[in-house]
Amino acid sequence: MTNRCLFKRLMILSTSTWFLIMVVLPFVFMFLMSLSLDGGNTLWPKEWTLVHLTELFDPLYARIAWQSLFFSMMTTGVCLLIGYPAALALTQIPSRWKPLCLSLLMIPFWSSSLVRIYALMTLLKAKGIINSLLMHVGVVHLPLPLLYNNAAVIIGQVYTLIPFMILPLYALLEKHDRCWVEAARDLGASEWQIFWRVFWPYSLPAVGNGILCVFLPAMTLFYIPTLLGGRGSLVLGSVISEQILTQDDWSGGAATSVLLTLFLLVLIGLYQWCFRDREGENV
Amino acid sequence: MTPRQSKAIFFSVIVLLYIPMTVVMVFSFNHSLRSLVWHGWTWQWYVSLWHNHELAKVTGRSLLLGVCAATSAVFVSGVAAFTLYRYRFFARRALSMLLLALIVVPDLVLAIGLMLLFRHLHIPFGFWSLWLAHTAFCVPFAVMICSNRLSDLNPNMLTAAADLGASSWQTFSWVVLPAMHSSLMVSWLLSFMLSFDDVVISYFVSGPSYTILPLHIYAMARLGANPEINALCSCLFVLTVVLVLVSQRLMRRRT
Repeated sequence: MTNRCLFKRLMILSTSTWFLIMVVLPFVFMFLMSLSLDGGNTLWPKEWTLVHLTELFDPLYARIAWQSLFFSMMTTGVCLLIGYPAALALTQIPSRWKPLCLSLLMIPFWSSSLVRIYALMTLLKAKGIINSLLMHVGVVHLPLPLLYNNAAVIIGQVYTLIPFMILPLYALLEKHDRCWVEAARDLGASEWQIFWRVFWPYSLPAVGNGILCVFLPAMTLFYIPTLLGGRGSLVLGSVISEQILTQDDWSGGAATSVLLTLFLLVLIGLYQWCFRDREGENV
Repeated sequence: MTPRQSKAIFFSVIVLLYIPMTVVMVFSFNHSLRSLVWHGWTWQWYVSLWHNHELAKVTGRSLLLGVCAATSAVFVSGVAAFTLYRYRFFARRALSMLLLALIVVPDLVLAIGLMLLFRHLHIPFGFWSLWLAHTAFCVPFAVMICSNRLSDLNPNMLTAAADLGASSWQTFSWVVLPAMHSSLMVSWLLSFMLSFDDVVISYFVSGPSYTILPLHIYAMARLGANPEINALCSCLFVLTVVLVLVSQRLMRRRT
């Protein structure tokens, strides 16, 4: 009996310790660092300040934050517009083909997003395939500036993050009972009404999930604007890496991250609050 | 939607997703340095990759790191998934919420936190910091896969084992581990890929003297495209395809 207790304690203790040290502690440090005046050379700040947090409302940072939000919203919108029909289509593909289709979707999900962004670069650049084709056909005479602008950043973000929208949507829509569609059709609903009144309300939790999985990475994947964007295309992630690695401003970087974390918590809270009742209904 | 329409929609999305990689792969065999026009087949870029010592060193590090991080992540997440499944304790709910949140938390935020942690604990930025950081960010995904599998396990099996006089350790190693076997392998593969591909976390916690493959590619890509990166990226993509197919097979065998 004591053995049993020992094993249980050991398991609980090791699990809790891991998450305490590797997850909770870093966040605590980040929070403390963002409030410390002396650059965070000591663990517990000697002098407390809110300067680093208020600094973020400086017009310069605010402009970048808005731009980052704009990129994320556009990306999420486009991902939803393309991803929803794709997920719905995937559920209706004959089961013989489904494993193959799922594998085709899993490969971009697993493969390095850096490699895929690089591939997009070669496609979009001035002497890339698209421009060469257009010039060969004679549609344009000078190469179009497809790379190094804000549109390229959004294309890159959509291209990287769209599997994260399709997969949760597919997972939920796959469980959807076909009877509802038949019933709606019997009652005289049009295709549009079936989508809007049957599929859409049912899929809202997955839509929320997909938005969470796309929106936040879009704000932080700093290498996408670095590789695809122009001089002024920055996301919040670029600011953080700039502050910490280039300016050596640890407190500033920590403050930006804290703000991002708070924003994330608000989004998760919103998601939980919206779908609290609904999940009870569905399960 | 008719089946034909849905096939068309789905495949057009897939085609769009695959066009860039296909172009890179085709042009990695192109004889031209500027990769603008087709100049005929060549293996030369793959040959020059093979003879690139810097690259070999960096790739070796990434592979070692991937193997180490995946192994430790599977170990931690196996224990964590079992603990969350089997035991009721005071922090259980908080822990499972934390795990769910960690899946959505952007890598960057975790990276900054870990960077501060390592700085305060005086862990030098290099192999050890990378190992710990990669393990930390792979664990939530691996726990998710393992927990999914464990939720299918009949709890009566554990009671039966205990009835027959098995100790906790025996129950764990003879009942639970065999049940989790394939999901542990899938978690290992996923963790390996996550670690091998990761840019964001490595960017922050690697030292100047210890670059790894994704950072090397990032630095090269910032200078612009060249056929050698085409060849390198093609190799990585093929590796991913193989690993995905293996893991799909493992997942299917389980059911």
